[in-house]
Amino acid sequence: MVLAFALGAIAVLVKSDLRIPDGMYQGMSIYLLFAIGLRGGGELAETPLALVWRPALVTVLLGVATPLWVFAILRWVGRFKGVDAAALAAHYGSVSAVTFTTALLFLEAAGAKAEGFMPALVALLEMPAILVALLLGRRAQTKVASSSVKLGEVVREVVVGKASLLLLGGVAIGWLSGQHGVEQVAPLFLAPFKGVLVLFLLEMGMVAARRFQDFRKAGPFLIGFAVVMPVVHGALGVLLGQAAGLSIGGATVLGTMAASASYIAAPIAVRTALPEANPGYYVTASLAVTFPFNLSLGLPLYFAIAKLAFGGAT
Amino acid sequence: MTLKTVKVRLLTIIAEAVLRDRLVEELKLAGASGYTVAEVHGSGFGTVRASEWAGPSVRFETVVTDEVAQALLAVLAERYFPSWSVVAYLQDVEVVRAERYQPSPSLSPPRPKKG
Repeated sequence: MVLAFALGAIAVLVKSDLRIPDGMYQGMSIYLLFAIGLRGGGELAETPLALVWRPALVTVLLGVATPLWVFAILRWVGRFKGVDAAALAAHYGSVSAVTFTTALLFLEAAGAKAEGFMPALVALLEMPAILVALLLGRRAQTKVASSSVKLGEVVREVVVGKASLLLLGGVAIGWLSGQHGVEQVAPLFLAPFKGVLVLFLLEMGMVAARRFQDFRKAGPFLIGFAVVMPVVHGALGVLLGQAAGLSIGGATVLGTMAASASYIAAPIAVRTALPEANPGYYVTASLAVTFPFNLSLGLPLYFAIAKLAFGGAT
Repeated sequence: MTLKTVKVRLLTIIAEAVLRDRLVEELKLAGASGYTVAEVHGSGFGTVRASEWAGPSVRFETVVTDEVAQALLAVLAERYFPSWSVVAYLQDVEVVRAERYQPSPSLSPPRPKKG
């Protein structure tokens, strides 16, 4: 699947005229998010609550804590402006749905299937992370305050923004209708899922490659950050996942979730609420560095960390 | 026969997709009687776009009186130009049925101050 991503990147680098239409990009995003939600919701309905609450708790914890130290590191070590640090915190705290999905399929192929309710956790990680980061950003913003947006609007954007709405809505529908209900739509939402993901990765390769030229604007510190931070978060996610009683697959996926940087919900929320933040930093770091890194090296690395952490227990 | 035409103003606003809903509100508040919006592609050289997922940029066109056009430009200058990628320009156009483009009185109260 990573090959599709590479093909997309190559297509841009050799200036091919390949171009995925906007409508298709949006359509595939909607399909993927909704399908992930349905899948997770269906499995959630089959899972006793006792198994879910601890992973859910550590996920929320991660969502609240990661933006705080990302912000602190960027602000005081990286010397970024407050709004830029907050924008990056929103991205690195939240989850890339595509990285997440790729992780699920990667582990399935490796024979270490993750718990089925993982998609529900994506929403739990995403929302607190973006909220916390935006709140940090608003504090940094008060000095500028030219175009500040009301707090209510920010919350609204995070909770009912199209990405969260689809994901959460999917989980809710899947949960309400149960595994049996989800099976009825399986021909559309489960069977072609991997194929659509491959096509989407092709597009993501192109999107990421178009950003490569922005590297220079990001600066070496940020590029280093965009590689080191995911590894730290990945290891942390794996260990917390293990502590919360997830399987080796589930812990790897939680690590990947913590490591990944959002490029769907976070950029929109940040652009809406913190327009002063420079997209040259947050989009470049998350899309052109962290995303390809996680797909290629990150995933196997987090899996290896999980294997190490679980020792011979599997 | 030549129809009698009246001069009004055409305001075009090209903005990032995330501003779409907010700009519709601004148009309404300022008293525009309607608008056309299209998704358009383009980019300033040297700017970095924030999000593909938000969609392509949008171009609003609205035919309004000069007062409404000036009021809208003032709002854009105050609240949008500093932080977002927004291009706006004004042209003279001629229309038949000028009354159609008058701000309806109920719709053009003094702008409430929003936070």
